[in-house]
Amino acid sequence: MNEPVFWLDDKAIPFRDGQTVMTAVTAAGHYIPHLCHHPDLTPHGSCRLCIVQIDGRIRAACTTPAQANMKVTFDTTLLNQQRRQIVELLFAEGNHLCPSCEVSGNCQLQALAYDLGMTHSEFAPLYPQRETDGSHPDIFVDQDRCIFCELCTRSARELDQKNIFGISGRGSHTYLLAHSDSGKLGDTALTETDRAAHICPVGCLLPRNGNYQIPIGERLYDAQPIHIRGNHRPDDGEFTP
Amino acid sequence: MKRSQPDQPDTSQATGLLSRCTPRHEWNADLASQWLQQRFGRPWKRADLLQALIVIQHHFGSVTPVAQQWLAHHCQTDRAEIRALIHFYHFLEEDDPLPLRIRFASNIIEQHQGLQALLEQLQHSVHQHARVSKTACIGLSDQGPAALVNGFPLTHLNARRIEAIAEKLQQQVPLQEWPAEWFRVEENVRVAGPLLSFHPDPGNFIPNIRARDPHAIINEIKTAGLRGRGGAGFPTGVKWEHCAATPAPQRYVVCNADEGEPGTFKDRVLLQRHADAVFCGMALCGHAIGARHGIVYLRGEYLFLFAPLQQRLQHWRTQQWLGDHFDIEIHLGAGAYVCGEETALLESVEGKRGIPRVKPPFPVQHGLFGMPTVVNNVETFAAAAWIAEQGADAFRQSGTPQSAGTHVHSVSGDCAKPGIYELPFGTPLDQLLTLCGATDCVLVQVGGPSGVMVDSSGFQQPLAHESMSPGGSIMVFDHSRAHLDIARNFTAFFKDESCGFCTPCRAGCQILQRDLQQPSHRIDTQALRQLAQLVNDTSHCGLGQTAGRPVLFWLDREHP
Amino acid sequence: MSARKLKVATCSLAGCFGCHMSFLDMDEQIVDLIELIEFDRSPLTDIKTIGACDIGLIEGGLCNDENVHVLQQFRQHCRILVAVGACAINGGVPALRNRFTVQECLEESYLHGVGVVEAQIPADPELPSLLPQVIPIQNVVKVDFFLPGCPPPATAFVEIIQAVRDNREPRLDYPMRRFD
Repeated sequence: MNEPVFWLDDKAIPFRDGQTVMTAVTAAGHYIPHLCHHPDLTPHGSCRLCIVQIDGRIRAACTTPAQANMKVTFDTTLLNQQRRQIVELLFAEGNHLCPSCEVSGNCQLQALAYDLGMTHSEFAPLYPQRETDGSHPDIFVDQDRCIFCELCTRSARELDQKNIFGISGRGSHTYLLAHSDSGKLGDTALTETDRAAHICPVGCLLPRNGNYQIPIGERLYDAQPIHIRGNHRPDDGEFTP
Repeated sequence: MKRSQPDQPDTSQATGLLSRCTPRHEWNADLASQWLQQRFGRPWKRADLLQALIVIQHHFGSVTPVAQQWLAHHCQTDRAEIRALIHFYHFLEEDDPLPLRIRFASNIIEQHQGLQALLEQLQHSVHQHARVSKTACIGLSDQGPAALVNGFPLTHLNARRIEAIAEKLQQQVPLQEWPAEWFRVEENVRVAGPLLSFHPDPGNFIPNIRARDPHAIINEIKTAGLRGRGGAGFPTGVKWEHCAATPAPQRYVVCNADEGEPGTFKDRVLLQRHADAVFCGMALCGHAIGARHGIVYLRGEYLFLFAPLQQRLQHWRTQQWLGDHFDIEIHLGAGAYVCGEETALLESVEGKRGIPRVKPPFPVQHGLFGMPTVVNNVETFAAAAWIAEQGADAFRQSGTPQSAGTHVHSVSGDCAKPGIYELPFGTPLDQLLTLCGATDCVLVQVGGPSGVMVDSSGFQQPLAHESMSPGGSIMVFDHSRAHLDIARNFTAFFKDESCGFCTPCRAGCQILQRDLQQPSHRIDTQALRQLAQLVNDTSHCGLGQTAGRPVLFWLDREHP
Repeated sequence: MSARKLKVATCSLAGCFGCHMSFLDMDEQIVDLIELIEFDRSPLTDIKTIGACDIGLIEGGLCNDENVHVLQQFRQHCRILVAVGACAINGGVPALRNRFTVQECLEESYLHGVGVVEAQIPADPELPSLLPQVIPIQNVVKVDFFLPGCPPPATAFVEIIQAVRDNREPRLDYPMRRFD
């Protein structure tokens, strides 16, 4: 029996029942830009970076089930431009001051910006006022950098079996919350060894220890773009400087 | 102080659950328990949390940290979870020290009716007694300017009425003692067709349908060609069929009465005048798909309908039209347009923030609490009941082949006779404009901000799914209205109502709104067009996928 | 080739001159570059007024009304205007003050801050007044090219200048697109 395939532009992508476009494409060794997708977690579909075109409609590859012979358009000028604009929206929406951020060079948002050819955000920054939370002994929270991907929320629930993070507010007032009566991360059950403490793709959930051991310029995405490196963190066990 | 003290007999006890009253403010756990017992009539749990918050908010004026702690304890959760709900729903507040909250409807229609001046007038005179703010459309564009005071609508506002309201506030007259006529909500039915003349007798209707074969009912609805009246126009019979065909231990019927699309108020009138027809339609659906539970998701803006509808349901129960075989309960919204999206609505019924789910799976497969669920609009259920009684052939006698039957339009704006018009599908827009006395009509917004803007070149078009999907809202604008102001109002609406889940809608709407506020000569129209298109193309749900439309219609017309 | 040299003007608005330092940090490449360009108004020449130029390099964002005035002069006189560095592009570190009001910033700096003596908020009319927020230069004028980085590498400056000479779009290869 031949495995079923679908088409990513002109590439045949084999897939198994239950796979999404994203998981099948990744398994076939190709890269679709993404921030909120993680292979160990339930698909989410919020960052919208993995947009592809199917039957004339734009869909998120991470939440779209693979189907036999489906034609998935991926690499077009317009889609690449829209992916870049979505990254630019994220930059404009938060306070992303790369020069003063510890994860610069390891940041997946920044890496996608580099890879998608962003030199600046065409959208003027919104400069929101967001909270920081220094109550936890191991993890510092700087919401200026939050992109609401909910990797922390989902990994705490699904991998650590804990209810630590959530999203609250709405629209322009969306924010990351810590599940405790005080609302402080220090009053939750989060520990340094939890997966959720080491999954943030940006610098919002920042480990307090071990920073600046690798100098700027020698970090994860300084030499190689994210479409080659993949979405990683230096502390996820897959990085050797 | 007329407001009650903790150790004194509580005057608000004299008023009913969620009735028009001034909140008491001092937290009292026993009293809260009583209200919640009255609301649920059974032990309540985490999934009831949103409904509980609405009751607490209404009777205590806000959900203070003490109340949050109490609720968290009851639901075995943490305060952060309670606050996550409060911060999502516009009508819930953490702490409001003033006795009353007044929210002015701020749709473009009310803006044109002079809302800003009235709001400022009230704000200046009562700032120590009430918090005055704006909210989205409250479904009263035909009798505005209008506002909600502790959830109850004040209609036909003008400077004199505002002065009188300010006086009541200054004298701290309890809300339950304000003149009833200030709260009168008119029906304004201008043209009634078959549906608005339909008053089924549940005493006949319910036994009749229960004797019928569920498959035959679904076939009849399919033959009638009934399509969803919420705007999307999905074939109702097919939806019911899919739901019935999904194996499950139980199923749900949900009536979407979260009529949030600005300029729409037809469902409000249907629930005021034809609640029996709507309940009949829900019972019909329940029988057809094998569901024993029906839920009306009533938008918070229609709180004034809660008590009458509850009473009506109680009457149905005493008549045994409702019971073990099928029962209906009402869930209230709390100010969130996005909850009109069917999966966000289901999340809200489950007591969560109204974030639209990933589709597929669709609600007919995986809906409320994971069970197969039919979600239909108020008018759809009423029309289904009509079909069950009058037959599919009679239904198809009006309308067009692709859009059978009639449709109820809510008309507002620059016309002599705003109100409700029931017309066959396929009626040209200009015929409706003539009927409502829109003599100087330049622009018409069909289907609300998420719909289409039509100028005179499109007035001959028929109102039908195959041309422009009407949805239910018709807003009329004359030559004195600036298209840019309309685009600004609608874009601000989408920015306020975006749930915040996906990047393009959350961030894109903020930037569209900000950039559109600039003086028109400073607007970079090319960049704005690209962004509006991006938001439409790449957003997660129907809200975001239409949020760029007002900008695009303005650009197409004024900067082609 | 004896083509006319490109006229280049530079300035640092709400910046730290780090971008200027990086520009000069190009070792022997500067020998070739000096055949290609001559400076008009710039901290490097100390010329205070700007004439007609081919390229204007703007370092720093806008924090006061004098910044806006200088930027507008550059825009009027430069054929190609380049936003140089993180601050010009998104406000950068100076934009950290955007979460406070101007009054709060002034009070912290001149009245209540650590080590303040003779506390007094300066009010000399000669002093430029602060904008409510620090903003990127493209909020106010059209910008032709963007050189990201804190600072941008010297090679990126060379590429921009060569691109203008050759009348083409600059190509910022992966190592030149840096935000830190």
